[in-house]
Formats: sequence, C-alpha cells, structure tokens
Amino acid sequence: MRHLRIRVTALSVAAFLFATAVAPAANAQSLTFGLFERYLDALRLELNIPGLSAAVVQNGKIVWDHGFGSRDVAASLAAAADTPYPVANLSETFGAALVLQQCIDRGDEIALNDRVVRWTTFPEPTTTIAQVLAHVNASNVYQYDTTRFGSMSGVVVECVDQPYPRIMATEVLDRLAMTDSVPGRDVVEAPGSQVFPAVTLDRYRGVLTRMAAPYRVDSKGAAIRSDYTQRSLTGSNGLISTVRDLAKFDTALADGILLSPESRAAMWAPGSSRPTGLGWFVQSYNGERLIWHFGLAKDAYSSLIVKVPGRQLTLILLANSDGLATSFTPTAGDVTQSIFARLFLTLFIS
Amino acid sequence: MTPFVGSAFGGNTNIIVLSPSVGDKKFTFGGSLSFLSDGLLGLEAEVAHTPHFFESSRGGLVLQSRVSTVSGSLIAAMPIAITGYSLRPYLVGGVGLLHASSHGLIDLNSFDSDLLALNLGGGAIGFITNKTGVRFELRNIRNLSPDDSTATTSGRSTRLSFWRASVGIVLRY
Repeated sequence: MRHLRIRVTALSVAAFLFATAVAPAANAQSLTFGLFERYLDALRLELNIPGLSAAVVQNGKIVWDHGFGSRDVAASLAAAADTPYPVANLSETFGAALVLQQCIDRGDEIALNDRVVRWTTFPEPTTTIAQVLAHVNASNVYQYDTTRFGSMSGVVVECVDQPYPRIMATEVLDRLAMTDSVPGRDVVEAPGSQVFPAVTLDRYRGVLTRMAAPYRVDSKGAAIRSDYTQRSLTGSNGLISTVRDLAKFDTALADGILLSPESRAAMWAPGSSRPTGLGWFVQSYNGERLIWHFGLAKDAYSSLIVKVPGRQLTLILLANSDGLATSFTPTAGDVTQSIFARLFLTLFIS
Repeated sequence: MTPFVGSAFGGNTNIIVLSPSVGDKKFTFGGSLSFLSDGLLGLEAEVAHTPHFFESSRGGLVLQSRVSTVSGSLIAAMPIAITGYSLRPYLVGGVGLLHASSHGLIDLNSFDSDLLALNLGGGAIGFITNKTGVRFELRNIRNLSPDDSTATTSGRSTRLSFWRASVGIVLRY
C-alpha cells in the first residue's frame, strides 16, 4: 500500500513537471504556428493567390502543414498539404542533386570542373558544370539563367544512360516515397509512357488529376484561369510535387541520404561573389545561414523553400499563381526581400 | 478658416497592409485656412487626419494605423459676380505631405511612410450669414513619391490613394 502511494505521488510529481515544463513550450509553439497561419492566409488574400500549400519541417519531421484557399476556384476544391503543384524552377534543386549523386558521388570520370560540352550539347565551349550549377557564366559572373541550368539533365543522362524522368523517379522520387510527385506532365503521354510501368503511370495520372489549376491575377486582383505550358522534366523545370513530398526531399538532403557529405557541402557552400551554391541560393541572416530556392512560372505557379540548417528548420510553400515571387526579385539572391520568407524568419528565427 | 469632418473612402494601395479595409469608409477630420477673394483664385493650407485608416472590423492584422495629410493648394472658384449669394463652386488642387502608418502584431506589416502627395478635388461654399458658411467638398489624394522601405504586392513603387468627402463650417474673417 505504501509502495502504491509512493508511485502515485511520483507519477503526480512527474505529471506536474510535464505540465509546467513541457506543456507551455508546446503551447508557445502552437501559438506561433497559429500566428504564422493567420499571417500566411492574410498574405495569400492580399496577394490574391487562389491556393497555397505550406509546410514547416523541423528536425526531419513535418511539424506543421496546411492548405489555404482553392486549388480549383471554379470547382470549389480546397488546397491541401497534399495538393500537387508544378514547382517550376525549384526543380533545379533536384537537378543539382542528381548531377552530384549520379555523376560526382559515383566516382565516374566526370568532375564539377569539366566543361559541359564534354558531356552534353551546350552553346558555351568553356563553361564548366560547376559554373552552370552556380548560375555563373564563363567569366565567373553571376547570371541567373534557368535555360542554361536545364541542360544539366543531359549531363545526368550521360552518366546513367537512362531517360532523365526515369532517373528522377528511381533515384529520388521512388527512393524517398514521394508518391504524390510526377517527373514531368508528359510522362503519361505516348511515347514517354513507355518509360514507366502501367501501375506507375496510373499513379501519376491520379496525381495530375489532383494538381492545382494555374491562375493569373489581373490588375484588379481577380484570379483568372490560365495555362501552364511546361510539360517535360528538364534539369531546371517540370517537376510536379506537394509540400509533403518536398519535405521528404528536404529531410533526405539534410540526413545525407541522397548525397555524400562532400557533395552536400559543395552544394550549400556560398560563392565569394555570387549568391549561389550549386543549384541553391545561399546567404546569411542574423548570423544564420539560409539555403533557399524559388520557382516561378509567370501567371501560373510559384514556389519557395527556405532552409535554416542551424535550426534544422525548413519552410516549403507552393502556390497556384505567381504571387510567391512577385513581391520581390528572387534572382537578386536575397530571400529576406520576400514577405513570405520574412514572416517565417520573424516568427521562427528572430 | 474651415474645420471639417467627413469620410475617407475608395482607398487603394499596393502596400502589403494585411487588412481587408483599405477601401472601407473611415471617419476623417481636419481644418483649412483659405484666402479666397471675390474673384477667381485663392490659396489654401490644409491639415487632415484619418485615424484607423488600415484597420478593419472584418479581420486583418493591423492594430493601429492612420493617414495624415498636410497640403498647400490653389483654389479656382466661380467669381462672386456670377454666383451672387448662392453656392459658390470651386476646384482645388495642390501638393503636400502624406504620412501613412500601420502597425501589426509583428513588424512584418508595420510601416511609417512620409510621401509626397497630390490632391485634386472640388466643392461648393455657401454663406448662411456674413461670417459663417458651409463647405461641401470631394477630394482625391494620391502619393507622388514612393517609399522603398515598404513591401508592396507587386514589388513595384508604393501606391496609395483615397477619396475624401467632407462637410465643413466656414468661418470668415
């Protein structure tokens, strides 16, 4: 009886300690996310973004995700955390990962300082793979050019000798169970459909059916259904994904599942006279390193991922208008000019 | 001298305010000092204040806000020789300073902006007694200069404009 009383007392003390020490921290976090949610939706409304999906990843886990507005306005279909969007040139982060994973980490003869023309067709004879991945020209001057970056798929294909969408699917999407992602809209169309088995194509078709519709916003703020013409996956464009799937990619990069430590370090190392690493933007903010990238399909879609490695914290946003990238100039290389990034940094870092 | 009250309405801005209320009607008040002869032209100095300009009862994340203007204007009025003792219509236009501020729960949508502003409008003055009259006026106020420190929805220069309808008591000296 005495032992039972001691155990009950010990449990009560433990419960009290939990309630006073842990619960307030949890409450503070839920208050922060509540505020973040309110501000995010207010920003969405003010920028006339029809649909927005968002996730925050901390220590390798999604600690918050949410959908705002509509993925299809006319059909009144709500945007959710599992709504697929074309991520536009956010696909560059995947392209860079595949170059490093399939060409550099495999120890083949290829090196980052190889000229691109050694491995694929490219209009600049002296430009190296590292220069394209860092968005610098042959004179080492920063020059953001998503078309140049797109040619990196040719380098990956040369390394693996398979179609690029198939490499993306097997080496990243399937490996990380990114089951709501599609390596280009045209993979379900002939003749590209021969690359994947029927069951995979059925899954891809299901994802594309749920894909958010694209919208352009007119001068009066009305969202008007538009068209998105990018159908094929390239080194810099064409991937369709969700915030939850992108969170898996983010965690895999952080955990070293996809890349060697050396390649990952090179990918996220800032350049001396440019705002880029390899396939990512890199900058400092209040003593923290920020690693980020954006996606912009004008009058259709936009995306933003902001990583704070020092806090093991990531924000992922996908939208079905270009509103995430219109309030700042992302190619200038300063994500703190983005009001969405500023909201995240203000609430979670400052 | 004309103390006045009225309503600011039809507001439009590309500043990221995080409030649905910019176009709503808001109480406004102010005063003007005018020199208006019996002829065509006159001069005016005016101060106006609109508290809670960006706040809304329909939600939003603005806790405190205001828009104030100080301006100097030229008045072109119908000469008394034509209007006699009935209402005297006039047009008014000038430039001045527009101060807009908004403060939210966090700094994200907080700003204090001083902008060069243009105002254009018109109204009518009617005297009830020799010294006292009433003024009805409608004015459009818009900024001319940008504030590069405020975030805008388009990433372009700051744009803020609104209408102001007012009624004032004219005290003539």
